[in-house]
Amino acid sequence: MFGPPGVSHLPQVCFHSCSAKMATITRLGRTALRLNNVLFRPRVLRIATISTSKKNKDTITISDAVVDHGKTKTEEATVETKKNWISWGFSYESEVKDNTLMHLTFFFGVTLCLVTTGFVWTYLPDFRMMDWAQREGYLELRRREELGLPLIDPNLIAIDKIEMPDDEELGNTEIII
Amino acid sequence: MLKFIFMNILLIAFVKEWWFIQISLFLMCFIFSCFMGHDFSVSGLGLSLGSDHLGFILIMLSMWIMALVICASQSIKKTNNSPSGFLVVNLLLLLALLLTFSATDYLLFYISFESSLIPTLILILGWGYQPERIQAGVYMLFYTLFASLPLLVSLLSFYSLGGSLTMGLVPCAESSNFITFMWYFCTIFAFVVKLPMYLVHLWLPKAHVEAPVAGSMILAGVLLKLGGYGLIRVLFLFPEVNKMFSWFWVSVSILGGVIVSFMCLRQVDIKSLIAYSSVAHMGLVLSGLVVFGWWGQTGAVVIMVGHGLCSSGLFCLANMVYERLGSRSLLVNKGLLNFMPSLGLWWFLLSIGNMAAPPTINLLGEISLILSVVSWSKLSMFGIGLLSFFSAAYTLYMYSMSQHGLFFNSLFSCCSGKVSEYLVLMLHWLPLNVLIVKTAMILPSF
Repeated sequence: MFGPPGVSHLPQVCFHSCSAKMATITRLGRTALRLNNVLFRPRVLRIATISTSKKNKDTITISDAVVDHGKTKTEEATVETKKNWISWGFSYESEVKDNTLMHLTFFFGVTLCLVTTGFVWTYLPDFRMMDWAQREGYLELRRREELGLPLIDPNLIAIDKIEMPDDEELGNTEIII
Repeated sequence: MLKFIFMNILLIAFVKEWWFIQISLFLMCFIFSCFMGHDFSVSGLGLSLGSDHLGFILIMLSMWIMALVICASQSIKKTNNSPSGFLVVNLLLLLALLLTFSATDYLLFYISFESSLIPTLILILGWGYQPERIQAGVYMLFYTLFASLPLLVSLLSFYSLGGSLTMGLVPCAESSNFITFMWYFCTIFAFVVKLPMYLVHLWLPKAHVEAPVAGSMILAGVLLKLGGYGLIRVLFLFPEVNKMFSWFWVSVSILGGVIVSFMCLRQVDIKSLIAYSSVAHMGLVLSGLVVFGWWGQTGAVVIMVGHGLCSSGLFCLANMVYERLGSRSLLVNKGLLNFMPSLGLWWFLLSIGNMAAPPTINLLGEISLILSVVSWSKLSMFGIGLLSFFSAAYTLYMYSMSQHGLFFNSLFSCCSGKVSEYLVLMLHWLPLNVLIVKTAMILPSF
């Protein structure tokens, strides 16, 4: 059910048995430690070259030897087990820090800020009462159609409800229409 | 609202860890976006802070741009150019911006408006590249200060007239005599210089070009919007005088925008080109605001958000090219598609965002603004038509000159974009293009 070990896919949580849970946790740990593997680099590296040409050229040859990290063995050459790594751009000193920071920035920046925020904003119920306003508009239109009133009335309020001042009170006030 | 102010202040304690600030700013954006998802017209009230939806939009924009600024300034961390000082200055700038956009008291708004200048000046002087930055800092500081001291006087006059400086409780100046006109001019001149309008725009190209990438991004992204926000808050206090004199602001800003678009076509410095294009866009914003209608205000806010994201992204791109090639000149930075084809995607997407292509929110804002200004006066059609046309012209000029053609012979190969750079550009572009489906989040009122 979980597939062969070493396959890097998302581990699935299973509630069957304790040993299955342990396997899940181990695989999780293995995936997380894949790149943060400072502790897991082999101390001793065996190198076997496949070149069949004679080893008397000027170029540096790597002898078929056991290369040890701790002591400074001087065969033909010592091989560094540090792979060349290309930084994601978050840190140029440490691969571990770069990788961690990449995951963190993408989680907070994309997963939280873009995806989750986008989800929340999309499904906000009746944000700023737009749906309510449209419903009320349709209800008002239906009411006016039934009563035979004009759909959009040039007078917002009925004229007989407005009290206008007389001409004496108005005097010289500017009338703007 | 105080929770975000406190989070900002307390982040200053953690500036030794660059990554912590970077992550926390994104977290702050996320929490704030959940905070602004409600129906209330004003919220977060207390201690003369609080915002309605316009404030939310601009606070969100400033936090988002600040997070992207920190992500884009990796070179300061790499060259160890006092990174903690840089982060402190940026956090203080964010604090000033948060206070400005969430102030419900005009005096608090004014004080934070002014205090946002000081961290910007320190950014330009401290982390800029060239000796011209001294003059650029002086220009920016003195243009803004000269224009905003009359604003202080007018706010104090409002206080003595009305007894309160709380937004919404300040009495409008109903009459339209000479004194009211002087009052109106003193009040809005500060924001007109900050926007900037054409005749008082000289500080902008200098400051944008001489600032480091962080300064340019923050300046273009948020600080120009302070002018627009201030205008929205202050313009309704002078209804009569504004109706009498809006023709002046509309004419100068639109004609100025056209002239500045012509100047863009003659620029050799990429950052200078983007800076002048900011003047043209903000000219359109000013004309829409001053026309005083719903369409104009809405279009202005939408363009402010869109321009903030787009210009900030273009400055980020210009800086990426500068970090690799050592020059901002279009004569050196040409044929970049040969060297950095992956960045060419972002050059294209952000350039078309700059010229208001669909489906960016820039298009929505520009259409609204065109509607509002043309409804105010049909004669402005000529100016606006030229403005839109030439904005496309200079953007195409910038894109084609920098990307197409033969490359400069003394260039070597360079990295076509690290993942962090891609992320920063994508985070600029995605809100710009995807917010069109939920414009209720960026419309200030309806």
